[in-house]
Amino acid sequence: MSSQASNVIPLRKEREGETAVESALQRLADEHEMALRRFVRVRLAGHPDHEDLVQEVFLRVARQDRLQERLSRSADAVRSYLFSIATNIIRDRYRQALMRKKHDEVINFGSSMEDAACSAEDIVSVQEQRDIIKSAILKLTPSTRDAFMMSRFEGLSYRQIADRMNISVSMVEKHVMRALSGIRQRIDRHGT
Amino acid sequence: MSKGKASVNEARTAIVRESVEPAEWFVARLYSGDMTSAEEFEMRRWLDEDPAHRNAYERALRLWDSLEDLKNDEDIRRATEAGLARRQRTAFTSRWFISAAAVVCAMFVGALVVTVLDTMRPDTDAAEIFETEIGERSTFTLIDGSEVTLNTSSRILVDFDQRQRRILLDYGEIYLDVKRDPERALSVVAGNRHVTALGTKFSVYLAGAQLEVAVTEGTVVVDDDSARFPRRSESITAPDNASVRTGGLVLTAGSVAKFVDDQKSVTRGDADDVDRLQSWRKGLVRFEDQPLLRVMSEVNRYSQLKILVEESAIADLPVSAVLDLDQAQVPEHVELLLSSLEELYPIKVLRHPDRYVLIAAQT
Repeated sequence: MSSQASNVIPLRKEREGETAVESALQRLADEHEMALRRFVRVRLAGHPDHEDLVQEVFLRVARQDRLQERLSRSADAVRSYLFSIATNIIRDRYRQALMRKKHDEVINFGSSMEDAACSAEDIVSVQEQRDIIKSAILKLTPSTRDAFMMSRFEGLSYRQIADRMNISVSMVEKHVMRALSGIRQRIDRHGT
Repeated sequence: MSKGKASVNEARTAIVRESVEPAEWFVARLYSGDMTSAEEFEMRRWLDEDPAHRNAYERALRLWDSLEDLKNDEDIRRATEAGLARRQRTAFTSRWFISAAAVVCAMFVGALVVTVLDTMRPDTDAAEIFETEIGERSTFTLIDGSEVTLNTSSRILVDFDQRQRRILLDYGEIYLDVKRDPERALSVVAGNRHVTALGTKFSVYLAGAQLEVAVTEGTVVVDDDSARFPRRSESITAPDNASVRTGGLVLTAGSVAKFVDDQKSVTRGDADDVDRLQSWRKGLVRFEDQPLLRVMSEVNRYSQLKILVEESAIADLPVSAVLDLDQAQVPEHVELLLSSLEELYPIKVLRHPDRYVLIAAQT
């Protein structure tokens, strides 16, 4: 399973020693492929895309600069890094799908005036939504806010956050959960 | 398998208590990287149960993803850096290095966002609130380099300026490792008392009308001072009290002082006694032949599930126990503690969904 994953990765050999990069990637696959597969499966909730998504994550990792430095961090930090790459890919794909859908709608039904009005409104609501989310984050209790921000915006693993805050990993998990819930409740109160 | 089950149970309690949606717990759990196959299985089943579950899950994920756009937002970036600076417990790698100027600036902005910062203030000082929830324990480095550890369910307001360092203990228990600064004493204001030190290690515990001060190292002075924690505008006209006041109660290393209203009692023990009182810092609390009521009220400080001692006949029963604070929130752990008490002492435990009640066992 793991060897299959690393075989398909085109390596950027000109910068770093070929064998070193290869073995780093091999180790990466050996250590984290199972967790990454589970992550992608659960993130996509059974959507059939998950096989090639795992491949794409490894592909992107292989293209990163200072690869060995990135991969030499602790296992939980590397895992969290892989998850954030996977998240970005999923997010990009979702956006592309949305765009395509919009485009199709425009071609099929839209009159250009209405479309223009509609998209301007969309932009306002996106900005508003953003502000609501932002103030919701800043209003979380300090521990919850810090834990959540370190996780979401700094890409720290729960373990790294736990060490910094001198709390247990499961407490970090609870903070992340509370943050998501707190933000959602604030969005709901704004009636959007 | 059992690990997965325990955390699912734990999450369920939180879900009921805090109106957290299961979807939100699943997302938080997913990003931990520790999801087990049992949990994945359970989650799949939950998703298939109801289209509404799937929608809620999609929604939580969309929210998570949309936060990516905030990453470069000025306010978010500053608040994140302030958070990082506050929680700099472990050695920084170069990536997390933040220059001292940036730290001061970021903390200023962080405080602005959370709390009570007066806009007229110079940006060299900042008032900040730190708090822990039930079962949580957290250590922070303050801007002067002092370290404060908050025990379960505690809250402080840190207010430093050029002349003095003040920490208002709202409720709960803190341990302080004070950075020495002969120019600026550090006072903990707890109820109507000030505990003042220049540079030393001590803990302060405020529970209702009761105050407990335990000194690990150095000397502190406790003042009966009815002056309330001054607001910013008041402190400008307040007399200079940056130096250690005389006439207060002087406590040296190894001393433990208890105050209830106007009563005070001081025990001058040794380092071991103080160590025992502050053992919560290491996540363990040990009881040796302590009255049952006291032990249980101590356990209750760390757990959402409360234990009531309902019969006075057993309240003073001397019991010995060790409490692992990081486990005190886990129902299985509390259950284990109670069932061993049941075995060793003439106690019966009545189990209710939201509480435990201890009564005398029928003989």
